[in-house]
Amino acid sequence: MTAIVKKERFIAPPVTKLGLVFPGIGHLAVGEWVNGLGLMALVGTVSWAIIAGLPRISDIWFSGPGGGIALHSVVATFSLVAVTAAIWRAAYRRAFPRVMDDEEWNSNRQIFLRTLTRHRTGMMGFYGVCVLLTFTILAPLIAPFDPLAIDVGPQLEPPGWGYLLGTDDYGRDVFSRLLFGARISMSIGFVSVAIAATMGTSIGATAAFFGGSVDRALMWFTDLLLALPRLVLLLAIVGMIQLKGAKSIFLIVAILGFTGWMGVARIVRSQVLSLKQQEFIQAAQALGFSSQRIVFKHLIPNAMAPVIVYCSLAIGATMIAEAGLSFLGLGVPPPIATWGVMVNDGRGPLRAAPWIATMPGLAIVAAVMSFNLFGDGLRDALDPKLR
Amino acid sequence: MIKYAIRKLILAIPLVLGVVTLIFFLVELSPGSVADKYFTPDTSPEVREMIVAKYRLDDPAYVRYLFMMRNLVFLDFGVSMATEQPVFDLVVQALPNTIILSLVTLLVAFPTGVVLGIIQGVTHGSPTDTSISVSSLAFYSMPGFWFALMLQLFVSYQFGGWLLEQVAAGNIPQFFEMFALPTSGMYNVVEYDYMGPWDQFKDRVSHLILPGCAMGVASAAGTARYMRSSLLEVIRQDYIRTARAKGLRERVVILKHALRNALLPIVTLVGLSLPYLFSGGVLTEMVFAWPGMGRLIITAIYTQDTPLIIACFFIFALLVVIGNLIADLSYALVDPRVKFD
Repeated sequence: MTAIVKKERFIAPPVTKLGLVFPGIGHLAVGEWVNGLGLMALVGTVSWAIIAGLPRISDIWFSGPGGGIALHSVVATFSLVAVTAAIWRAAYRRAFPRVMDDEEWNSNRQIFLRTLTRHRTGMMGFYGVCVLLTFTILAPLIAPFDPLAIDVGPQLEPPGWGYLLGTDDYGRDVFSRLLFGARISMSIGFVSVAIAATMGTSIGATAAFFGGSVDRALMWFTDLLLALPRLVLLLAIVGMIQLKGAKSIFLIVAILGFTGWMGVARIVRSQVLSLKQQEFIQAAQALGFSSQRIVFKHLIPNAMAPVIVYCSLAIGATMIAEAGLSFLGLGVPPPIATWGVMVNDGRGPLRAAPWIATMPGLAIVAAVMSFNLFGDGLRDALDPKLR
Repeated sequence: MIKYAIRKLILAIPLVLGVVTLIFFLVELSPGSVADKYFTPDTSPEVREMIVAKYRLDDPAYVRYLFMMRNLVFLDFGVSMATEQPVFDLVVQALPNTIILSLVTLLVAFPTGVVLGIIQGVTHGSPTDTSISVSSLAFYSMPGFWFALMLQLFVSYQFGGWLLEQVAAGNIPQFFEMFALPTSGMYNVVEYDYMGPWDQFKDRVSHLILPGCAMGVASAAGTARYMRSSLLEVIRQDYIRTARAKGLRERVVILKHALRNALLPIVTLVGLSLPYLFSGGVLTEMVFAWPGMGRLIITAIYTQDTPLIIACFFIFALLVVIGNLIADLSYALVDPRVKFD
């Protein structure tokens, strides 16, 4: 097959070579301002981490418990290298696009990537998520103070140069707490959605594949859990367990996961039900493949697209649910900071120090909005009808 | 239609019972004994025996479960462990407050959302559309309790405080005093009983505005999103092209031909969002100290008040069932193509 070069892959390569010096400029030069500004924001985050973190890298590396090496900082330093490499690779790819033959150009993967990168709001969400994740990973390098240390500054100091987002009533730095809180909030979002997706996929696929009474029983249970609004269900479980003394972050993650799978199960079930009727599954059955093989190798991979979209939207919803639980004092136990806990902390001194409650809330809005925008973009890119 | 509704309700009974069963076993299985919270180390044995007999604490779980079920059928929720009041009374006090808040929210939020959605659908792709889209997404992504706090802070404390200051200084007329909205509560506890009926009404309304906004903005944003996509889908249909080709004015095309069909999925949304309004109200009620079901359920969980918890969840499950029923019925009412079978 002759390699047919697509012209679009070569929009103004000389201009985009500028991007190798400073990623993002090349995109801006050809008018892709979302990608350009997104990359530049990432570069800004990384440079901030370098400027703020490198001078004290030896301090944070060797300040672990008992004078050992602090794991967070080691991870952060290696991530710094990885993130930097990833940014420049993206810029390099834009400057020297790979030549593709027709087959690859028209593959599902490439069509999906092309549609996604052209989806403006979706990419805004994508870069929002990226910047937040970078801040999260590089938190030990960026954060000016220990998030849990009290009296790092005067109490209730308004935002300013020394304390970027002010201090709270214990004299803790709000900005540092926000950064480290992002780690907890985001990882709770990711991990519990992963749990929910795994559970939902297996339950939905089982129900649809076996049908009959298995289907009816599983779907009745799903409907049962869906009959209560999620927050109310969460309150019931968390309240019952926590007030009797069992408080831990892992418990919260697990419970959020166990109360979030119903949507996934329904989606997977309906997908598998329609896939089951298609020829390739019948062929697999005719070939005598085991149920296991058909479910895991043929049904589930083909049912994943809407699940991915659902999950990207569910991360935001889960973060809000976690914030709500923490706000009621039923979430992550103190002194760990999450965004919800911080909003709750700010309730007392709301009038005297509005920044304590305002800033984490804005962070939640930014994060959830990014995930929602990205999810919308993914949906449009994965939906063959909208391409 | 009544037959259809009754059949739906009967089908929903196992669901409600299932929810109650689930909650009962959650309470039972949670660590620690249910009996523990009644006794202090110096409770005398006689009192202990009386309490055990009163709440059937020495019976096995399944016996208590069956008793609870029997009592639920007669809407007998028992006596609250924390306050010793009948649970039924507590629920009857709280439920109307929640319903007032939710209904007012619903009545304001849905039309607002629909209007915003229409504006977006008509001006599809324009800056107006984009700006409404972005702001509704922002409100949609916002934790309700945080927005409630921000309303308290900026509208009630800061703007309201400034207004009162200006009125006191005589810079603006007395009339504007009523725009200084109260921070929390359902009515002015101190002066309410001494007001005339009109002032009482005004007082109630002014207490309702902020909680209503806190709950309504998110649901209006959600409605606007649905309405926009629904309207855009309808506008692409052939009969809209026909209507335009007939030379009808754009206003008639949109309001008479497109809107009627675009509203169908939204009508279902009203019923389905009812339970979510109540649950979203849990946190909003906490922030605004609104004495409704949300606060009741949270107090119940904090105090581990088993009968009250079970009653609250029973009511929530009922609300979900009723919401679903309203959704089904209203859909069939507005869409002549749907037949009750």
